[in-house]
This record gives sequence, C-alpha cells and structure tokens, in this order.
Amino acid sequence: MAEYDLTQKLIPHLDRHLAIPLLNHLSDIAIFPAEQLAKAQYDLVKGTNMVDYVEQLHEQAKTDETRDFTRLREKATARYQELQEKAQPVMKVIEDPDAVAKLRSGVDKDKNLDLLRSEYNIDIDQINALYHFGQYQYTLGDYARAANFLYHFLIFSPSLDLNISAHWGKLASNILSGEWEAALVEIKDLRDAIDNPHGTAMAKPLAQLQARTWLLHWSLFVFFNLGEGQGCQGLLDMFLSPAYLNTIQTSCPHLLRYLVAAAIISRRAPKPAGTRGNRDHVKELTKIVQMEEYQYSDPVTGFLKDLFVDFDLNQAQQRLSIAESVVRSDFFLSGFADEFVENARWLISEVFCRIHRRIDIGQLSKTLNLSNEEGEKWIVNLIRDSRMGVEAKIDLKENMLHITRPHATPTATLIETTRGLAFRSQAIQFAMQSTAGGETQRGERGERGERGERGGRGGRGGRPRGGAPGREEVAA
Amino acid sequence: MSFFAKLGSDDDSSSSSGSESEESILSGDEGLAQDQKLAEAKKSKNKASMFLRSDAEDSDEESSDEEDEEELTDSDDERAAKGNKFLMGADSTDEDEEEEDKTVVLSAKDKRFAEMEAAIHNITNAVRNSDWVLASSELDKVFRFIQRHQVTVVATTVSAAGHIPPRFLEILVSLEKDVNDTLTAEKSAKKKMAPGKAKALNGMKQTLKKKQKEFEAVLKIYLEDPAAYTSAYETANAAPAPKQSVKRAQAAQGDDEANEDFMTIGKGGKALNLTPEGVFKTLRDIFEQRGRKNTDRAETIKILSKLLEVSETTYQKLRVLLALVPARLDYSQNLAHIPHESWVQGRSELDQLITLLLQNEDYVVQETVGEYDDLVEREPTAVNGKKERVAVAGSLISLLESLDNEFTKTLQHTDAHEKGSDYIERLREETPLYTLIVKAQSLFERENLSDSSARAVMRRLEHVYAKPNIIIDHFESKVTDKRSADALIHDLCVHIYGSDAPVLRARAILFHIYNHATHGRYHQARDLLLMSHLQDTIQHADVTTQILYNRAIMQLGLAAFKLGYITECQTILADMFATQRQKELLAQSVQRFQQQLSPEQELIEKRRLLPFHMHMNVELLEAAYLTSCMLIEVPLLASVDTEEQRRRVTSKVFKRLLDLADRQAFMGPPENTRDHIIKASKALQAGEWEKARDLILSIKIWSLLDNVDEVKDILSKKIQEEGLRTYLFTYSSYYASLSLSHLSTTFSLPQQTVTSIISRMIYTDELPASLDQIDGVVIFHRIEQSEVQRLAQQLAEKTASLLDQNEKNLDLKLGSANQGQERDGQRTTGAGGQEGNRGNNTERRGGGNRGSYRGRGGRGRGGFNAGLGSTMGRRVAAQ
Repeated sequence: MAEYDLTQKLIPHLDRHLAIPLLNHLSDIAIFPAEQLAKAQYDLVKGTNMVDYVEQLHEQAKTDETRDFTRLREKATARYQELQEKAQPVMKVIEDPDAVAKLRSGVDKDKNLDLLRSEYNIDIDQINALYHFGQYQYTLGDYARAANFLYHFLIFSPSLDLNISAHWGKLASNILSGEWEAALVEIKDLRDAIDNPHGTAMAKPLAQLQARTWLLHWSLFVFFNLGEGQGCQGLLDMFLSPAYLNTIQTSCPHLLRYLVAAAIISRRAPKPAGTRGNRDHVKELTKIVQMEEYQYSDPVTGFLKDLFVDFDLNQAQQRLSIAESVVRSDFFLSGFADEFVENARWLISEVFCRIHRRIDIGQLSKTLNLSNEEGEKWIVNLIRDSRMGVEAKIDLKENMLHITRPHATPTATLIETTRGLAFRSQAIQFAMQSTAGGETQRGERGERGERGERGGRGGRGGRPRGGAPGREEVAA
Repeated sequence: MSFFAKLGSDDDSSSSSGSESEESILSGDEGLAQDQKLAEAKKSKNKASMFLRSDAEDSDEESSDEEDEEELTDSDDERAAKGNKFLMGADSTDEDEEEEDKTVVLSAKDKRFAEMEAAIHNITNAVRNSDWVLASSELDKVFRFIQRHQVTVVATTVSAAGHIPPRFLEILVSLEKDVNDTLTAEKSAKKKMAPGKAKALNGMKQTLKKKQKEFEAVLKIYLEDPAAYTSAYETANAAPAPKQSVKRAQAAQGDDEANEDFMTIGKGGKALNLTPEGVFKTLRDIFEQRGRKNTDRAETIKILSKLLEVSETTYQKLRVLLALVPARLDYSQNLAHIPHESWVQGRSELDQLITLLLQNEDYVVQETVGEYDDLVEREPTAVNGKKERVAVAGSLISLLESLDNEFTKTLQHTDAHEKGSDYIERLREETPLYTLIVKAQSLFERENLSDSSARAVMRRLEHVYAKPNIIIDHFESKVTDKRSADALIHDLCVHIYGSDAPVLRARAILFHIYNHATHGRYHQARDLLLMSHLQDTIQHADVTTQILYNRAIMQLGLAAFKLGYITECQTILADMFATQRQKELLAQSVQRFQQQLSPEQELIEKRRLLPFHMHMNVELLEAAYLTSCMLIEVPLLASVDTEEQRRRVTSKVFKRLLDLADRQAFMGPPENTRDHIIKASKALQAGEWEKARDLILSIKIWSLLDNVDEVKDILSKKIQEEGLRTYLFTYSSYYASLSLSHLSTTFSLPQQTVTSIISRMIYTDELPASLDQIDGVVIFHRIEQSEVQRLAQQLAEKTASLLDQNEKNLDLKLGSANQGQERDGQRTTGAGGQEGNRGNNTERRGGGNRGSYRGRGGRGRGGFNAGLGSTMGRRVAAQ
C-alpha cells in the first residue's frame, strides 16, 4: 500500500503540527519501516517547542544527534514567561467583564481600539503581543489556549496580514484540539479572505493559489471529522467550486482521491435541501478524473474511471478491492471505509441494472464480492430502494434477475414535447400586450396572476381562463 | 507593337532592305502577297521566326543562331524605326539604351541633359501623332529633370541667366500652343477623342498652366528674345566648368600632399584617407554622406571595409565596424533582400564586433552616451584608480535584429523548391548566426542590459523552437555552455517569463507551447496555453504573434492526435479548418479567394510569410483533422435519423466533403489524402471497418509523424471501435438481438471491449437496448415510429423551437437584460407542475453560458472540453 500513500504529497502543504497526526497514523498502520518513521517523526517535531515530546521521540529515533533538552526546556519556559508578561495587560482587560461588555457594544474595530487606548492604555503593540503569545503556545502544543488567544487577537487587531496569519493559526489550533465546528467557521472566514483579497499579500495569483492549496489540505481534517453527511457535502461543495477545482487540477491533483471518495460516500446520504443531486458530482468527477489521468491516478479514481468511462465492471470490481485497502489505510478516509465500499457497490449494481436486462445473480454477487446468499439480500434491498426507475424481479428458479424498463412510446414523447407550448405562447402574448400598453408592470402581474390560476391544470385548459384576468387588467 | 513586329518578321527576303518604317510595312505586304501562294510551305518558318522574335524581345543581347543573326539585327533596327513612328513608349526605352551605349563617357550632368533632349524629342513626336498620353508622361519627366537641375545648378556658381535651359522653355511654349489648338479643335470635332487621351490632354493643360506661372519671369525674358536668352545661357554655363575642375584638382593636390602613398577618390571627388590616422575623418565623411540621395552604397561599403583593414586600435575597429555593418544592411533598400555574400560578410563583421567587445571589457557600445569628439582616438583612462570605460554610440541589439531579419528575408525570397541548393546554402548560415546571437546574449548579460538580452533570447528562441532536438543539439554544439535541447528551450522561455515585457512573454509562451507540442507533451502544452489565458487576448496581439498562436494551436492539435486524443484534436483543429484559409493563417502562402488584395496589402502579407523550413505540413494537419472528424462524425451521423439532425453535425468541412462524395455517381480509386479519408468514411458507414482501416493506414503522409507505428495502432483500434458503434447505430433497427460473441468476431475486438462499448452506449442513452447477461446477447428495444408519429414529432419540435425563438426575440425587444432576468426568475419560481420542466431548461441554458464564460475568465484552467474548443477557435479566425 505504500505506493498509494499520500502522506508525502500532503505534508508539504500542511503545518508542522498538523503533520504529526499523519505520521502517527502511519506508524499505527505500519506500512513503512518503523525506524525510518521514527526518524521522520523526530525530524518533524524537532522544530517545535514541545520539548518533552521531542525528547521522547529522540529516544525512539536513536539518532546520534545530541541535544541538551534541559536547556531547551529552560529557554522555552523563559520565552513563555516573557511573552506572557507582555500579553498580560490585554488579558486583564479581556478578563474584566465590564470591559468586555463595553467592547461588545462597539461595532467596529477602530472604535474599540480607541476605547482600549483611552481607557485601558493599551496600544497596538500590546495587542500584537497577544498574537505572539498565542503563536508561542501553539508551538508548545497548547492548542486550545492558542486558539483562545488568537480569537481575542482577531477581535482587536486591525492588521490584515496578521489577521490572516492568525486565522491560519486558529484553524490549526482548532483542528488539533478537535473543535471541528469552530474550525469550519474558520475555514469559511479564510475562504472569504482568500477569495476577496483586499490585502496586498494575497492579491497575487500565485499567493492565492498557494493559500487555496493550503486551505484545501487543511480542510480535509475538518470535513472528514465532521461526520458523514455534513462533512462530505461540505467538502464537495468547496472542492468542486470552480476556483478550488482549478487549484486541485493545477497544484495538487492527489486531492482528487478525497474528492472522489467523498462523492462516493455521500451518494446516498440524505441531501440537505436546495443542493443538487449527487449524480452530477459523480459525472463531473468522472470527467475530471479522466482529464487529470496523465498526472494523477490511484485505485480510488481508477475505480470511477473503470465504472463510468470504460464500463468494465469486472475491472471495477478488482479495483474496488484494492481501493478498499487504500481507503482503510488512509489517514482521513480510514473511518469511512465501510461506507465507501457499500456505496461503491451501489454504484456498480446501479450501472449493472441500468445496462442489463437479465442478470445472473450468482455473477452479480461475484462482481459485488459477495456470497450468493448475501448477493440475493443485496439485490432485494436494491429493488426495494429502487431509485432508478427500474422494475426488477428475481427469478429464483433460474437464479436470475429480470429487469424491465419502461420505454417512452412515441405518443408519450410527443406529449412531452408539446407540453406547455400553449401556455408559453400565451405568456408571450401577455408580455407583448403589456409593452404595447406601455405598462410593463401590470402586464407582468397579469402574467403571474394567470400563472397562479393555472395551478395544476393542463396546458390547454388554463388558457382561456388565465387569459381573461390578464386582459382585463391591461384594459383597466 | 507585337503586331507590327510580327508583320515585319513575316518577310524574310525583304527585311534587309530598309529601316524606313513605311517601306518595311510595304514590303511586308508584298511579302504577304507573295506568301499567299507558298503559305503552306512557309507557315512553319513563320512560326519559327515568331518564336525567335519573342526571344529577341526578351533580351536584345541574346545571341542567336547563325542563320537568323542577320535577320535579327535587321529586324531590331526595323523595330526601333517602326516603334519610333507608331509607338513611342517602346521607342523611348530603346533610344535611351542606344544613347547610353554611345555616350558612356558623358558626365552625369551631360547624361541628364541628353535624357531631357530625348524626352523633348519624344514630346514633339507624340504631339505630332496626337498621342497625348505619352506626351504627358514625357512632360512629367522633363519637369522632374528641371527641378533636379535647378537644385544642382543653384548650388554652383553659374549665374542666374544659365539656370534654365532654353530648350525647356521652348518646348513649354510650343506645347502650350499645341495643347490649346487641339482642345479648340476637339470642341468642333465630330468624333470624340478616346477618354484616356482626353484626360491626359486636360491634365497636361493644367500642369502647363501651373508651370508657366512658376517660370513666369524666365519665360518672359525668353519670349522677348529667344536667341539672346540662349546665348546668355550658354555663356553662363561655359564659364564655370573649367573653374570647377581646377578646384577639384586643387583639392586632390592638397590631399596628395598629406599622404603620398595611396588615396582613393570618393564619389564627390573628395579624397579619402585610408590610413590609420585618417580613419575618423573618413568615417565622418561617410556619415555625412549617408542617407543622402545618390550615395553609392556599394562604394561606401568598399571604403569602410578598407578602413577596417587599416584600422589598428580597438576603438578604431569598433567605430568602423559600427559603421560597416549597418552600411551592409542598408545596401539594398530597393532589392528584396541583400545579396547572400554581403549578408555573410555582414554577419562575420558583427561577429567580429561582438567578439571584440567581449574581449575588451573596457569598451562598451551604448545607445546613449555622453558627448565626445568624433575625430579623436580614445582609450580607457584611469580615473581615481577606477578604469573609465569607453562608451561608443550604437545599438548592438538593433543591428543583431536587423541582421536576423535580413536572414529571414533572404530565405523568404529564395524558392525552396526550385532553388533547393541555394536555399540550403543559405540555411547553413543559421548555425553561425545562432552562435552570434548567443555571443551577443552573453555580452548583454555581462553588461546587464536586461532589455537587450531578453530580445536576444527571443531571437535565439525563434531559431530553435520549431526544430527537432538533433538540430538544436547541433546548434548548441558550437556554444560554450551546452545544454540539452529541452532544457535549453525551458531555460530560455523561463528567462523571458522573468523579464517584464508582456509581448515577449506571450511569444515565449507560444514558443514553449509549440515546442512542448512538437515533442508530444500534449498535456503540458495544453496547460500552459490555458493557464496563460492567451486565447482571451490574442485578438489584440500583433499579426506575427497571432500567426505564432495559430501555429502553436495547430501543433497542439497534432500532438493530441499523435497521442490518440481524437476528440481533442478535432476540437482544436476544427476552427482553423473551418476558415478554409489554414495556409494563410499559418503565414505559409498568400491566398485569398474571396477578396482582391491591394498590392500593398499583398506585399505586407508576403513579408509576413514564414521561410520554407519553418512551414508546417498542412496536408498532414488536414489528414489528422479529417481522420478525427471521420472517427467522430461517422457514428454521429449514423445515430441521427432525421435530416434536420444531420444538419447539426459539427464539422462542416468534413460534412461538405462527404456530401460531395455522395453526389458523385462514380468514385474512382483514391488519389490524395482527402480521397482516402472520404472513402474510408464511406466504408465505415457501410460497416466495412477493415476496408476503412486499410484506406486510412495507406495514407502516405503519416510517415511524417515521428511515432508512425503507434499512431497507426491507435487509429486502427479506434476504427474498429467506431466501426462497431456505427454498425450498431445503423443496423440495430433490423435486429431484435445480436450476440456479443458474433459482434466481437466481426469486429475482431475482445468480447470485453465490445461489452464495455455497448454498455457505454446504453448508459448514455445513445442506444435503446439492454444486455442479457445469461445468453450473452444485446437486445434492442427500438420502437419504430410510424410515419405519422414521426412527422408529428417533427412538427412538435419545430413548434417548440419556434416558440423558443419567439421568447428570445421578445426578451431582446423588451430590452434590458435586467427585465429578462426578472422574467426568468418569475418563470422558474412561478412555474409549477408541467411548466417546471421548461423553466429549468431555460435557466440551465442561460446559466450554462454565463458560467462557462465566467469560468474561463476567472479560472486558472477552465473546463477543457468546452473551453478549449470554443475559445480557441474564435481567436484563430481573428487574423
């Protein structure tokens, strides 16, 4: 599985601290040699101020490098105290309920700053101290408090660049302390900041691309921890929005795996109101996967391609079994392996039923990697949950599945085409009359009125009745 | 003229008799009369002499056969004489030539006078023959002469009386009289003059009036007493002549004293100083002459190259070289291009110059320098321990560029087909030119001239981007720091990307795309193109960049084809081929059928043409395009059943060819590539995929692709697949079911492939069928429509489209998009039940369009399928 592991591709776009869980995960599933991993973990953590942890890893890695951990610890503590002192005045204000109430009443940052300066004698440097202290706490591994400090900093600070940085910091802190809801809000804020760059630093296309790439990677933590429905849907929404889709195609095609997986997993999940069907996602993704095949493919994307480009069901089945193990060993997806396999099977059987008329149940079960018994149960479920307008019956004697599909008769298609023609022409007529009368508004009201009248009636019946009020209104 | 010439040549016997025109015509008649009897016998001879005549017309000097020699010379005389009488135009040139033969020794001034005399003579003759067109043109000549004469004369010491030659005034007066007479006669004449003549006459009257006013004073003196004026003129002119020569001699003597050894007399009679000491002085003289009329450029070059030989110091050499190279490039402003030898020398001299600068770091050539004295030798001086560099005025990059341009021009004007060896010989000079550019680039880089070095890199790229790696390696082998071909292109392009000239950058991107595409890196090329957003802005670019863009696009299409991306290839190439002007858009020929080009336009277009070795093989491109079309369109055509749907087929070019072939009663064996493809399409339509494959694979032009075998494999596989699809579309209505194994043997495809192809067709609703897994057959559910049903359906569809049209028109009429949106919104919200269907439709249509545009603008890389085709094309046609 090592060849399909994405950790190496992901890490360059992650923060040092965010990479730690990834490496821990790798050491859990043990697809890489343990010594190398220990070394990598040590190298990774070396740059942080989490001295105890570093020391522990140092022992594990058994490197020749010697470091004086007591001194490092002292240094870290000293720096911590120094920063804490600096941030103290602001903290005092924040802890004071009166001040908080006052500040909350003020709407914009400028006023709040004035208030702070005049009443509490706090200037911008001291606010920035808040930021530095928060950052330092983050490097120490105290994520929850770091998030807290950065939150307060964000309330006060007027500096755009520092704010962005603080947002990133807070997102990372939230992720690492497991506050997914807060992290989701942070992602939204960052997305706004990246997409509408008013600051100078973010306005360059390259910087924007970089920021988006980061956000995409970081958001994986959040979306895959939010729970099936909300998370995957959110991920699809964000990743498939044009700007981010382009980012994926340009700088990190390996994220396609997560996109595909999310699309497959959330296929049958109850959809929030107002979103489009998932079918579109799968179709769209098939195209993208095909397009990017030259630079990225893995069993997960390959599965989609086998199924919807080549329609090679056997191949898809084989691919699925590999993909399953890939998903199981993936840091983000491991929790969703079962859902993934289940939904992938659904996809296969849907395609199968759509194409075939008579299916050997034994063969289908084999294709789905199920026993004959299980296969039958599966099929029954499939029929019961039939969402694709397929009428299927099992013939147990022959051990096969009959599928009858209603085909549109010429008359039906004719009716379909002519449906609504009369009504539409009428709408035109009204619009024309109203413009001729010079009173557009009235005409439109007439149109609407007519429409309301029509309600559930057939195209033809609505005409004379609907026409009348409209005309009257125009005349009036 | 030719008529008379023929007459004259008819009679061999009498041709020697005389040079008088009337006589010769007479004798011609006689000859004809005589010949009537011997017509048969003589005919052949006549013909022969006619041919000879045409030869003689081409060039008078041409040596002829022994037998005809006499006759030829005679008839030449005759012609001259006859021409004299009947056709002035031809005559005048003849006469000029003759005169030149006789009067080689005349000075320039005398020659001019002789010319004027001739012109005046012509005028009188023309007036006598009332050939006013000729007269008017000759008169113009005279006026021009007079003007020039006046300018030169005023400069000399000749007194005012000697300015205007009396012959001129005489013709002025007499001509006016003639013109007026003719005009009054014309009024009363019964027959009107030919319009051309009348126009010339009137024009002449106008000019005469004008000129008379100009010369009023002199004319008055002349009219008073012509004889007195003439004598005054002569005396005035006689006097200064000896004086001038004395002056000249003196000047020569003066210079003689300065340097006894050798001296050259320049054009103006000035002595030239060809010694190291005199280099600067001579240079200055030449600079002063430069740009003036009548400067003998060849002479200048000769002098300068001699100067180069004698110059000693670096500074001198620099100065001379900086004058010499432009002089060489200036040499031929009238010719299409400078002679090859001259170019080679110019190249080697520029090379010398750049090498000199590379070796001597203390000298620098700059476009802006502080003032310095031209005539003083300069050397680097040490100021405050730091060496002050010597700056010389000049622009190396423009020299380099014009040298490069001249190289292109030479190639443009050498016919690669007829003078292949010449072409190759010239092309061989590209390597030294390339090394020169590289040298210049390193010089610019040393001097930190970012602009110049970017331009040099551009030139360098232009020489290598379209070449195969072997040739690039050959080029690079002459350069000091060698790089592999791919790395070179990449480095050079990145260098340009780093510079801050948007035009250069766009070009560099296009070079890069082209190069990627030629090396089969389709994806990189495509990404580069889409990420650069060039297709959005290319209409605003200059024409050469657009040409380059077109080339890059075509190459991209070919790259897609080579990799088997048939659909991509078709969409990329479609727009270019839809114009039917692919050769012109690629700047490979000037062809335009619809509109007539004005000569200037044609000249401009010709100047843009690429030299032959840069051409892309249009036939290959066409073959790729049409084959892609075939693979896409044939199944598509088979899948639609009504004629109306047929018309919607995308590729018009292919469709037209196919229809043309349909109309033919009999189709012969295929001759060219196009025939092959069309025949293959027919075979494919009939389900004979093997025949189609053989026809396609037998196209010879494929051998130009570098991966022929792979392409052929891909093609035959695609033909098999598309053949199966076409077969299913065409014949499915005749079957209730088909066994998969039968299909797989018929199309010799593995059953798995057959199944997956059919599955795809079923899944996408292309084919109303389903598979039966147990029996291994495909069952068709096609429901046959009765004729009435079909017609009814058609009618319904037409009505629906009519309604759509109405709605669109109404939206337009109602004006602002604002309103339209409002209406749309209403519809989608207000539409319930059956109406929802349609509302969604319109919304999707509108949204889709808008979305795709926005997408292209805002995205790094837009939706490739839609984006690539539609955007690319429209720009292509923009040229």
